[in-house]
Amino acid sequence: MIRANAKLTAALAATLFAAAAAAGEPPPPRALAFATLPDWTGIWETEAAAASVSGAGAQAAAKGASLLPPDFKSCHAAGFPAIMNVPLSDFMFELLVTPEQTMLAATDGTVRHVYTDGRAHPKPADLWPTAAGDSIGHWDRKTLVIDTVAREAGPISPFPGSPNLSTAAHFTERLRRLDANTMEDEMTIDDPKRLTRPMQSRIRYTRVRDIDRLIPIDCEHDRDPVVNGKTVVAPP
Amino acid sequence: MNAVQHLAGIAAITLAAPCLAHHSFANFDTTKSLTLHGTVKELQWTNPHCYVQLLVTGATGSVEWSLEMNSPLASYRAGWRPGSVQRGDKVTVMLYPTKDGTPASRLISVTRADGRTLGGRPPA
Repeated sequence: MIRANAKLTAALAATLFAAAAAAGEPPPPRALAFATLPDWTGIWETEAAAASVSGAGAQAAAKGASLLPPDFKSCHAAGFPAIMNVPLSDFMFELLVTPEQTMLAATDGTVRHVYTDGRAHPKPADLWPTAAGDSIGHWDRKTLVIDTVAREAGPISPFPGSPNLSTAAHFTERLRRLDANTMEDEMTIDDPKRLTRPMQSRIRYTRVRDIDRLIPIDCEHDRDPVVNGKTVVAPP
Repeated sequence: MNAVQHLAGIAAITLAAPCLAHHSFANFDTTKSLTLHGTVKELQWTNPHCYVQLLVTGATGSVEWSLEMNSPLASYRAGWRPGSVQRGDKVTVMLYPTKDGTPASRLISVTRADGRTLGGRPPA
């Protein structure tokens, strides 16, 4: 179901540039800025998510979930930084790369805006913690270097045992495409209030080939209430 | 402030624990599987989980089972479609039953009358 959007876009851009050249006019500056950016079109998921789609991976996922505490429930968007490493087959994201910002949109509703127009983080008086924090970035050739602050205090991920971070946590990332079907995010988290040293991770993503659009996941028809300390299946 | 967490020495740690669900499956017995024959009442193609509502006739009459699946998106990727089973279809299902015996379960697979199986492989 993969569409030939990338080829179509490239062909369209070439046509526009050719038309501008034929008219004796230089391409508009924003078009030139777009031409320097990497092509990250497509839908991406973690390598672990890809492995859990069906078969043995899906069975392993069910057995893994049975080890969670009986009252565990997380029915909301993953937020940041968890969204960068959710090993579930319905968590995937798209990256929209423009000269001014790169936007990540995920199936669970998490959205990240990484502003690359040269701005700084807001002044302290204009900044407060949010689920995604405040992200700015710059391009190191084809690598997006991201700096994030002002993320809400709380666990790194909703799963038990996840380290708890303060609002002073500082995140730096290097996001890049390794080849046509693989991306990588190197992340360093520093939190002087909660961590004695920075923690680092390297997460790889693979191109999703069996889905050609982001299909939302949510909890609108939740039939798994926690009753007497246990998650149960509610009657229809 | 909570106790400082020492995370040094770990070359690479993942940001999410190796748990693969948004809720616990502790109420399901994933150490054994159960096979049932029944008639489809409804396929609920809904977030965060799809459900097959299955009518199973036993010694005490007809009992409605709620067979929990993954989300529509995850189910789609595993081969399911919103019309994969229809009301009235005779099917054989394999499932992880609840530990307390209530007629609900984690669905493993559905085999339709035409012999096609959806949902994955039998548990190891």
